[in-house]
Amino acid sequence: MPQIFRPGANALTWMVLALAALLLVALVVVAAGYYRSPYYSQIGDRPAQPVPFSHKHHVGELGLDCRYCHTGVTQSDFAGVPESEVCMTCHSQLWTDAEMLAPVRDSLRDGEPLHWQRVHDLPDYVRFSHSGHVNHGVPCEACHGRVDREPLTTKRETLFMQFCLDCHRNPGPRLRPPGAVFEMGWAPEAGTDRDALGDRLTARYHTPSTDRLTDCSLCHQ
Amino acid sequence: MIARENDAEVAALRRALGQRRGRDYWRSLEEFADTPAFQRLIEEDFPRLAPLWEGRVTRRGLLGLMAASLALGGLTACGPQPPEQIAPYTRRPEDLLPGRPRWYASTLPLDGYARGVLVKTFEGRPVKIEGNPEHPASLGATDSIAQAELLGLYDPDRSRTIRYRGSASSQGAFLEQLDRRRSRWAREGGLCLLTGPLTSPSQRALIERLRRRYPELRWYRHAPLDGAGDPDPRPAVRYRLDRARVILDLDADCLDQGPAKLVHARHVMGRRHPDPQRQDHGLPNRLYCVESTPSVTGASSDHRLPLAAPDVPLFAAALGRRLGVPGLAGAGDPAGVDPAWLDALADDLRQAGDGAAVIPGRAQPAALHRLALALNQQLGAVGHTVLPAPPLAPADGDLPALAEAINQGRVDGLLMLDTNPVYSAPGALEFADRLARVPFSVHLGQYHDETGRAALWHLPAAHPLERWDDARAFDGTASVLQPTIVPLFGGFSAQQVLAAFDGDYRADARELVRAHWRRQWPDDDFEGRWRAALQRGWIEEAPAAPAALPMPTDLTAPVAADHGLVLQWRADPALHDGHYANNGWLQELPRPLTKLTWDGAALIAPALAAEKGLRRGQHVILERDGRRLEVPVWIQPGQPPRAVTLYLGQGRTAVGRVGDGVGVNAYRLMPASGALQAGGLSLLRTDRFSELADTQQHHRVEGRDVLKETDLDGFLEDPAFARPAHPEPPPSLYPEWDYPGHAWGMSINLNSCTGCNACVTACQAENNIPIVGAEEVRRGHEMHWIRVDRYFQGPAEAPETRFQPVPCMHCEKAPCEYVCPVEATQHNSEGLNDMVYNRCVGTRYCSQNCPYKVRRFNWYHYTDTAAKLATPAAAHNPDVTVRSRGVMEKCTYCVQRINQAEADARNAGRPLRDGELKTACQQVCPTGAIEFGDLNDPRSAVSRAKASVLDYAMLGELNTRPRTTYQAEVRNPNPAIREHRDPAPNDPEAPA
Repeated sequence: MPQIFRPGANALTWMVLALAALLLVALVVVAAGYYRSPYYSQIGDRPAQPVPFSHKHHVGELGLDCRYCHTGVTQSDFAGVPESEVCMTCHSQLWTDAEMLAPVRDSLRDGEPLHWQRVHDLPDYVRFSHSGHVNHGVPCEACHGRVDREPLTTKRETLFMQFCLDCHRNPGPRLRPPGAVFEMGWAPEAGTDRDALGDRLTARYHTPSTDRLTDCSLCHQ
Repeated sequence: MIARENDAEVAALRRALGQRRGRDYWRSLEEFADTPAFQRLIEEDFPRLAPLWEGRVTRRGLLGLMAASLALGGLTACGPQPPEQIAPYTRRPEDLLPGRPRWYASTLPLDGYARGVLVKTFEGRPVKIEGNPEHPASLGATDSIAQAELLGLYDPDRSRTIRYRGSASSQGAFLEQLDRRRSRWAREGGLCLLTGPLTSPSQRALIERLRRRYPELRWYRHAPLDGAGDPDPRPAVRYRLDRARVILDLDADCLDQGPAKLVHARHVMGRRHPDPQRQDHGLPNRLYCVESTPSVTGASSDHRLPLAAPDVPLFAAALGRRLGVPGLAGAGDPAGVDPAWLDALADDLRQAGDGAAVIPGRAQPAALHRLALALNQQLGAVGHTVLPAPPLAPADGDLPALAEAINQGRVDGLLMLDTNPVYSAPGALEFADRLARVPFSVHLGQYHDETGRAALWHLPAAHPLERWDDARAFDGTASVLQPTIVPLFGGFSAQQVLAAFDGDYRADARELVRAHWRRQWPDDDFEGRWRAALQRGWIEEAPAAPAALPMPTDLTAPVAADHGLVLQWRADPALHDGHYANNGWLQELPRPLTKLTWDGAALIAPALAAEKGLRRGQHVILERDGRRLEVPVWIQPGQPPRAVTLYLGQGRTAVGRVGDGVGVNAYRLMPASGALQAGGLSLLRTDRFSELADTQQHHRVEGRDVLKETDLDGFLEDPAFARPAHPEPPPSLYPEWDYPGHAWGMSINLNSCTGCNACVTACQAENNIPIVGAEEVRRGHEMHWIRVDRYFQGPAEAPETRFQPVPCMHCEKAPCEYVCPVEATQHNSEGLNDMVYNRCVGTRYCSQNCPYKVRRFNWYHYTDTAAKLATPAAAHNPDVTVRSRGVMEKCTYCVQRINQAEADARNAGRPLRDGELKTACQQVCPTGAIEFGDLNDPRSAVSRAKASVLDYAMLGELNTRPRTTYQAEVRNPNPAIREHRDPAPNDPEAPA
């Protein structure tokens, strides 16, 4: 019975196998790259808004407190996007004719809400409570970044589950004293032991145990 | 083939009928008779799964599909988040904070009687209804129907427009036509009004106003569930069952029917906490039930006697003779009732004296109501457990009287408010034909229904959650219906329509109600009282002078007659009189005793089935008085042998996509008088079959000892009868957990559970549980997270019935957790078995490994907007994930409520208080049978319940250590009556 395979077939087999392995590696690399890419995580996204609102101007330059506009943040799951009438508390006096603010004035006059594009959006199967975080020492900055430097609101973190868990597994280093939660760029006084401060703050806020903070149903309910 | 199997099953049924078994429990007659079909059924985890796969399957094809689904299934999760928008208010309503619920006290009427509720709304959108603890008809609980009103509110099939002869028209056109007729009615009469039972003070005041304008106005009342009208009105009575020691229910189903059912359930069953130390042993009452159709009350009673409806007055008279009621000396015992049983009952009632209560059924004729009042009077109960109730407003007649008036041509204009006589009139009245003869008929209804289509004008009615209205409770307490949302489809309130007939065309619904109450409180601070009433949920009024109960005189004993086969009409336990037929939650609710969903059937006794050779689902033709109706039969253990029951409420033809064509319209067979029982029925067998969508054999926990119960004697002899023989749990291979914070647990008191299903619907509303439809229920795919298992015990003719609600047990050593390949179900730090939908890939291993069969799988995309029965998105609870296809789900102990309560307590800087956190099933339970709380707190209600000697774990021998445990049931039978009962109490559970 003649040989079915020629001697060269061995090499061919090895090449095919090696190629297949390479392809697999390449697939993993591409998938990982995709997963980390800003295309997927939407980091840096800056969707067009009906009014080009600048946190840099309002927070960084004028020094407005977050809670002036985001009124629900200490009491509700939602921080709340300001109602048109909140904008108009100032803008009925300032920049009353600015073309840029026409949509706000129209909205209040017609009772038609402004449709803002969501920048920080969690999947629908995730429950996130703003009040649960800011009342217990987690600063705005931890997720939203330095909005006081942003002319247009931009997504700064992936908001993947890994991002949440990094903090839920060890919240101490990110906690701040109550007065500093809404402050941008706060840092403990020079020479403070950050770990010791974290421990003091977790005790003060009665931060739940890591086990509780990593319960699936705490966020997926 | 079918015929042979049929014969075999009927033969097995006949054999089974003679048997009497001891304390074995059975769920269906097939199980009782142990037929081959039943053996096949229990071999499948999900019954009747096989027919799902309709194509030809080859091994290659299957592997190919698996590979493709694996490869492609995961990719769907790979896209970035789709863009979303935020639309803030332009001006935020005061006190409204997006994301925080607001609660409104309101009222839901049923048969015109009020039940106080609290409505949870998010941003002006009602999402959940709960009972108002301060309202006397609710006491914090609701029934399934009140829970399901939420779905009814968002029903897309509701009427949206004014219609003239079926085509869309306008308010202006209607008012123009109305205006032309009004002066004639004022001069010549001819205007008639047809309403349901009505307690609303403001509507009554407006009707009085109409009477002044149209002195000839005739007001007719159509109450199909109240049976035939009677020249003498029934005595208006209410009961204080919290004072009652011995209660006799005469075909009343007092725990599940009538305007005071929630209060009755609380007062009768909610007080049962067996305890050998207490003087009354924690069983303060004994419930006897004589009933024509197996009901929740009969199942909960200590003694139950099945009796055809026409025999119930005979029974009452025989009892009256024993108690010495004047005029009843000649009453004989009804056939088939053991005189000793009657003697023992009479003795028990006599001993209870003023602590006795005899409750007649609303479907029974007025004669029985008078008999029952005489019995109560003779026992001394009147004034103690039996009190006068405010009577309904006197109407000028009932539906047959209206039909007669139409016949005589005396009706020129007919206004029908929130009633649907074309559907619910007795067939013999042929009401649709009569209505066609009325020149100007106007129908106000939530649906463009049978009557709406037959009437000249149809006006859309506002839902109770979106209108201003008022109503009175069974005890006369008035309360306001406070809208929680603007009318979604522009509906009108009854007040607005009445005012329009009075010439007030632009009346504001709110002002019409307020105007009535402003007249009631002329000198007082009206605004203050009004606001207080809205806030509290009921109106504080000076109590009306107690009316004396007119005692019946000249009682005569009813005469026994041979009625032949009796047909009985009863309110459907879920759909009521048919008004709720388009509500998917109620259609799919397994009825407490039959466990039937969707389909209607005629309930017949096993003996009758054996006699006629009928099998479950076989069609019969019911014929009465020349009218015929083809309907499948349902063989119901405990049904009186010579009586067939039809539930009302099905067979709608013009209600919407959910209710149309489900079941048959039982009203068609009804005699013209509207009597709810009639003899002379003939039953013809056919060879046609329907596969009925019942759930009684789904999710079986096969052949294992799941129920523990005994009677009082057995309990006193061995109080720890429910405890396992070995109190120390055996060692487990599963890891130990510790709970430094909370450790949640649940205890279900089987002594109090009536099996009423309120928990099932409350859970469905709270947890966004989809409706699957009849076809899917037949496959065993129903999604309810809590099921109420119903077991029979004893002979098939008159079994005892037990209920056991089964939610997820949240096992300490959970078998489900260890078989999930993707860790989608996990133990959490507070003892819950978390289910992570976004991880689940749908292997269903967890369900396979669950001994309690409490996990539910989304076989299809039931929540897709394209799904036929999808719940409208607006009705969803925003705190609970909406699951999609291919995902396992189950009871979470309402984890969203746990998280919210913990977060609120933490934000307020205080510990969580016991009782502050309630699961949806616990909150709704009329009898308080469910306790939930922190097991780490030894003083919590649930810890105390679990410390009870009656506490036992279902299937405890499996060592799953469930966190949901039960309190074994102790019945309180009359020692003088020992029917169908083993003399010895249950043996303690033998080690497996």
